[in-house]
Amino acid sequence: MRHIQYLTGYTSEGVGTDVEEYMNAGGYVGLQRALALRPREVVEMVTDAELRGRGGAGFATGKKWSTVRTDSEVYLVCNADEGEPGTFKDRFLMERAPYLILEGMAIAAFAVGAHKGYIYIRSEYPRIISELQTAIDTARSTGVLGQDILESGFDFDVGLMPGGGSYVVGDETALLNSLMGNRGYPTLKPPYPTDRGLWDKPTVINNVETLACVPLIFSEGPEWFRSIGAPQSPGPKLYCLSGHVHTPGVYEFPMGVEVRELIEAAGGVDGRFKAVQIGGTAGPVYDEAALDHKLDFASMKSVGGSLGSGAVVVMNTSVNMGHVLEVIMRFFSEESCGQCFACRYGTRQLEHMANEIATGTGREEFLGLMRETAEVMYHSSLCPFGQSIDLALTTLLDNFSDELRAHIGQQDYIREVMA
Amino acid sequence: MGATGDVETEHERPRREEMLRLFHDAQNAEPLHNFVTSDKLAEIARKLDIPLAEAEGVVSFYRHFSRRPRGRYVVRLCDSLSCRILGSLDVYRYIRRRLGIGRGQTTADGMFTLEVVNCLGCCDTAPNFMVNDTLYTNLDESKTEEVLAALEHEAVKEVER
Amino acid sequence: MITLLMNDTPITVEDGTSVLDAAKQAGVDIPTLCHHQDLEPRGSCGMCMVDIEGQAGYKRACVTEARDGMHVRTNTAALRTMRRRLLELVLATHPEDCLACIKHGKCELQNLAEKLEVRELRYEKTTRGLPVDRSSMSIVRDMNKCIGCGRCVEVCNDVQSVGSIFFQGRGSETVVAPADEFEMGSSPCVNCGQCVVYCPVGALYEREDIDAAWSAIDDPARTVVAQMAPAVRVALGEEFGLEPGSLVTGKVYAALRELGVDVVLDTNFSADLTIMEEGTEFLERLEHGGPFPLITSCSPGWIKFAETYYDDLLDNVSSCKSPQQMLGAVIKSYYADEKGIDQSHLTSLSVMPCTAKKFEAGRPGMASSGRQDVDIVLTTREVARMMRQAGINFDELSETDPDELLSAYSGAATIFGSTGGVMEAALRSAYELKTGERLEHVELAPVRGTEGVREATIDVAGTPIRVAVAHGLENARTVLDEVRAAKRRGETPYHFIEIMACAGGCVGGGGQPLENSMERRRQRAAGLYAEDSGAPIRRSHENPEVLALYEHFLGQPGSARAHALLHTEYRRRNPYAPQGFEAPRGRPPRGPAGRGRAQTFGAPGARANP
Repeated sequence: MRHIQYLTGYTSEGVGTDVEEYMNAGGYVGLQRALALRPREVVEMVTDAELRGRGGAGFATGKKWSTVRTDSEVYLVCNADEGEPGTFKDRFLMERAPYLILEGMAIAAFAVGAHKGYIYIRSEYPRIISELQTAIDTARSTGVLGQDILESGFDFDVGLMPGGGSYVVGDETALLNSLMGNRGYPTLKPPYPTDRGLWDKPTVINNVETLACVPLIFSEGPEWFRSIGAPQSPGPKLYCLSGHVHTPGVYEFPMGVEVRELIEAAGGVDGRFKAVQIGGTAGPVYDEAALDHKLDFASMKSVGGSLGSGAVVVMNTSVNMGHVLEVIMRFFSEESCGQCFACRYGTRQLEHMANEIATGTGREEFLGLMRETAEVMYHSSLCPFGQSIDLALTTLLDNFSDELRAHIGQQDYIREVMA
Repeated sequence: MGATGDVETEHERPRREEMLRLFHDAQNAEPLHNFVTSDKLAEIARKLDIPLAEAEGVVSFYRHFSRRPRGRYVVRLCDSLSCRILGSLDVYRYIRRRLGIGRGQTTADGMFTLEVVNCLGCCDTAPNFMVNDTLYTNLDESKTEEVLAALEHEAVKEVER
Repeated sequence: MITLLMNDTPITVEDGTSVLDAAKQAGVDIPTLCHHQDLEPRGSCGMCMVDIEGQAGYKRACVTEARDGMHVRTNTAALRTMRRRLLELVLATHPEDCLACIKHGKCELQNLAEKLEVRELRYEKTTRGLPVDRSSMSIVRDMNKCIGCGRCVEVCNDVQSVGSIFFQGRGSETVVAPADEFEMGSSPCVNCGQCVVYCPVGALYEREDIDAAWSAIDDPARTVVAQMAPAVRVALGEEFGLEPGSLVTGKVYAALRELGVDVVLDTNFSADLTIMEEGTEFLERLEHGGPFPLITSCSPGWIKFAETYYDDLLDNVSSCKSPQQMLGAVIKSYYADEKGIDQSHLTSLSVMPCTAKKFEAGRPGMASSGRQDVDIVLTTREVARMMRQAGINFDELSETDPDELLSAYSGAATIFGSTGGVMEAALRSAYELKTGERLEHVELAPVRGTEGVREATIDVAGTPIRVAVAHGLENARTVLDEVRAAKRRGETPYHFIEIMACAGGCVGGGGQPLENSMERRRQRAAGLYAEDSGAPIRRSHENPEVLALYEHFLGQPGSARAHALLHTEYRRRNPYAPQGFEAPRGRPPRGPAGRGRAQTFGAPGARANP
């Protein structure tokens, strides 16, 4: 498979950040075409393109749009709370192609009948917040946002909402709570946000990259979109390569690229390959067996994994898997919102056991108890956050059990360092 | 609601969704200490017409905000997996040696606070830290030293002015 | 109606029933830790997970709607294992001082641990080492024991709309607390104790005054004079295994004497006294054309709430003290004199369904007798504990009578314990005193019941009197916001409003036996209404001891002496600043004896700056 440049076609220097340059490069063709259709047809085209959400869950975008309750005011929210470790594609897009995202939002809004949209952006991106605000203002004055967009009679405006530093808020129900000025607690579904979201109004929440894909579907056609990459989850995908690769960064490939190809695209492994974590902190941790895995939703599911955000963290042989265990478990413990019992107590215990193992004071029985804990969390956590720890933990324990076992009773330095 | 009987009318009152932005503004209004003061918290709660405990409950949920005075420079060191395997612990140890503070601590002169965070979204340039709103990338000990020294210099110059 | 299979047994329930409630109706007990029948299902504990055929994973029974044809399994090996492991996780961070815990034996976590048979505690024991907040006169907050179910947060914010406590911090460090620099005692907490009665564990509980009570009782030089509130007599029996609503008045009198109390009086007496004072105040206002509405003042939780959130309506709140404080003042003045008890050797002790009464007794202005009028306030639960400590076999006790002089009561007094009771009692007397006619039917159905807000219009001598009854402070807000809005338009939607801080009224007070569900509150109220309907005297103004008190001591209702002893004043509180007592604003302090009734009952002077 070859490196492609559809989304990244708009991200090269100066193209995506200047509204005129963006238009010269083919920007706003998609919106123009979409506005000429009826909203229902717009939804159908996205359904036809088989676009699936790029935030992690991979839900069919067209399906989400088609389930919006229509008897009320509708809101559109762009989820730019990219907090998933190993993931920086949304930052990349927002930095380099803000108009692509705004165009995608305008199309989505038109499709679902929203006149007000929000971009909820994490506070760790202060520079982007101000740049994005400038882009919104420019789009408004250019007539591609605000009243009577492209003289179509359609009104849609966007507000920028900064987050406050919480990973769980990336979950759509938690994000809505946060956007409304509450603690970022996820809520149980149903009701789905498309039924009752912001202020109980139907609300569509899409990830930055998902929205960035939308204009392409209209400028190039759904067949074109569907022809790219894996059959069940087509389209271009931004993969985030980091860790021990020669040239870390965002790489655009058709959905379904193999891990090996991605690593090659990033200049290969620095040192000798040892492990890879795919999809973010809750993603599976594999050994070299993963190099042949195809990175799309269906293929990853078929091997018991998950594509997640498309993050690929490559680890060479210098990496101590005890540290990996400790970093992942600490992440969960620190980011748990604390609302449900399993996650609040489970993450705390997992962090403790991981820390003991990483610092050489772990006990053999911790390995089993950690699995049991993750299993309880899988079954009884309220939201995907607590449920998802099971996959990262079990793959790590399955694939690196000898090394982790060897850590038990071996003094290490993390505790001393992080004290 | 009108819980307090204030005569402030609905349109003068900021909407609840402005809450996090108000906290950002409140924190930014204390550049030397980077925290949300109790006065500001009460002001926000009163403006939004919500109980103080609830406002505190919201602000305390989000890690970006502090309700205790912090240093003039808040160093947010990323310790996610990508940063960790590329040396975040070395950076951490260097800062600790250099400034004498561990995670969550502030130097005695009130200049630096060190926080360890879970991902700054810049894994391609790991390891990273942010100092207030500025990102520093591809860190090692010598680059960390450069950054810290420059910040100290900047602060001294400001004091002289 | 829908039919579903509950563990292979077909059951039929109404549409919209949760799986949890459906199971309950079928007699199947699904364990929960966060759910409470009176509150919104929140799904935080996850303990109620069930297996629904054809659905992936487990579902939370509390938030899953039962559907026609659904097949629910609640008792599979896997579910039992998951629940036990989940509970094991909870227990790992819970202190193990159960034997010394106030909730021992009544703790939902303990009961569940016993039921689910957790025999292994494999996790590292981590306790949180947080300081216990004992700053409040009424409520102790111990976050080491909190399991984070969120019931208290919902009750404080949504049911009571007080907003004193909220979740603070996040993750495993989450606590329930007032804003950062506040403690319970300095927060806007109104001391209603509803958080306490909904707390499943020992994280929130009443400040105990049992030791002080015992030392007063044990001191031979002291005369301990006790009073018991209306709502206690239909609830205390629950602590000894009787049905909720069982009327145990005579047994409580006997038990108090067994404890060593010297004189047993009854707050019901001063409930009648309250009607005399408040009724007079109302009639005065009717005569002077306002200000309306007059709002009852028996509930100290409501009073602090008014001072905090509705200080613009303080002139509408009756200046009458609550029955507890009226009786306290009379015990330490009239009663002490009559019985020749040295005031300095008299301990005035009250048994209350209420945690806010502990706070109320310490308010400035509650020392009209020259000393603090009520020295010790015990909740129903505390006095039951003392009875158990004393080895009293409550059920076997023979009923006795109270001591005379300040204990006779009417049926009108006893219904003070239920929402609507004060209004009904006041209207019985106001009507008869105003019209000079005798009411044929004293029962006023429109103000009874448990609707959050109830309204009625009653014709009194040709004047339609509009009244409202609200219980639970969120419901109070509904009425008060209406009053406030009308006031701005120069209108008065009501003449008279009864507000009780707690849902159900005092029968549901924060000091009542656990559990304290709405269902039980209704049963207790029924006990009070039953007592009223069988009472020989059903009108406060016909209580012979009350009449005698006026004749021998107070003079007329609303007299200067009555004012000095039985009335009080309120102060403004800022919910955004630490609470303390601030100087009363607007109204000058009421003078002692000598001021005429017109001054007392007339329109209070306009406040300079409302």
